[in-house]
Amino acid sequence: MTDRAIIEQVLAGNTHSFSELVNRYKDKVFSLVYRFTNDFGEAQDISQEVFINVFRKLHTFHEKASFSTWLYRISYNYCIDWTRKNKKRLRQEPGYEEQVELADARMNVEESFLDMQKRKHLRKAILQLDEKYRNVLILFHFQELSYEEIGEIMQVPLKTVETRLYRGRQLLRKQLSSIPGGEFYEVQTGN
Amino acid sequence: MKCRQAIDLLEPYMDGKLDTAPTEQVREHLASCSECSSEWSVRKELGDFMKSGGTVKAPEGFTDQVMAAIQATEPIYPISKSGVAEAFQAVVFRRLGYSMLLAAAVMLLTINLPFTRYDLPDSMLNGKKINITERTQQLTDAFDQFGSGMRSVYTNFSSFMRR
Repeated sequence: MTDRAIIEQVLAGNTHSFSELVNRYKDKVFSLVYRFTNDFGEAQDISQEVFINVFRKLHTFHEKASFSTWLYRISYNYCIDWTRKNKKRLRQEPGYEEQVELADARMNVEESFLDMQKRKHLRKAILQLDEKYRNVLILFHFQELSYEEIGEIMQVPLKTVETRLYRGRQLLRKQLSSIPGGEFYEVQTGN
Repeated sequence: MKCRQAIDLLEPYMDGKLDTAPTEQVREHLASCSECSSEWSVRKELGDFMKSGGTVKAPEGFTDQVMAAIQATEPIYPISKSGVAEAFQAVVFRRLGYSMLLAAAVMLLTINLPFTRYDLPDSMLNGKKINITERTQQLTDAFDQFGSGMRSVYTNFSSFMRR
């Protein structure tokens, strides 16, 4: 069943149908919120609020738009509000259990550890970026959204998405290359 | 294609945003220039690494928690696309309901009041003697509790009963 068909059912009074939409998008929303908050508990609370808010506003959803983009936009706005209120908490490391959760199950123990260390450096470097670069990187690389979707979610022109993405990557590479011992990689510049 | 040009195009090239011709030119340059190729590898590695993080799954029971929260806080009537019309109806129905309850309460309280006592048949009074002071106090208390709206309903009702 399409998203639109489910929405029509919900608006006709079948509230239970909304659970289908939640099941369909819960991991994407949770993942996005987690990338912004860096905290499992907060991500759970915020993600629930997102879906409750989406349910309340479902009658305002425009038929011609994409539901996933609309959902992402609401999630993004919640994340922005949270990060602006919790700048200090953003710098903290996630718990050990969360790090294990993110590791690739195909790796052995040593590979997993190295992978986790690399991700730790990456996370730290991303958090140190300016919000406008960080947000685009998260939406493009972690959520794998298109330039157009990102532009719609962040309410900025396409060219701005491109510029911020390219500049964000450049700054990220610079951050990672400054890690003592070159643990992430060594940056080699072209001519 | 020169190195500076190729490097400038690496970002859109990585995202598949270049047209066919420049894409081919960048690809050819990377195949023949080791320095630009290294730069390309570094950038691609970082991009691939970020994407490889995958989706972080929502915890067990997430959907049930969301639905429970929605059921606990949302109104029983459905919300349709014309949310304004439904909201208006809800307010009207609630107020109408309250007014009807109020009218019923007034009727019950006033049925044995002084002026109605003389107008109603004995069967309705059930042959009982009425404590006027007590009934008046009850009515006064009701007015205080429900306000001027109830007083207005009572006045109209008592006028109706006198006809």
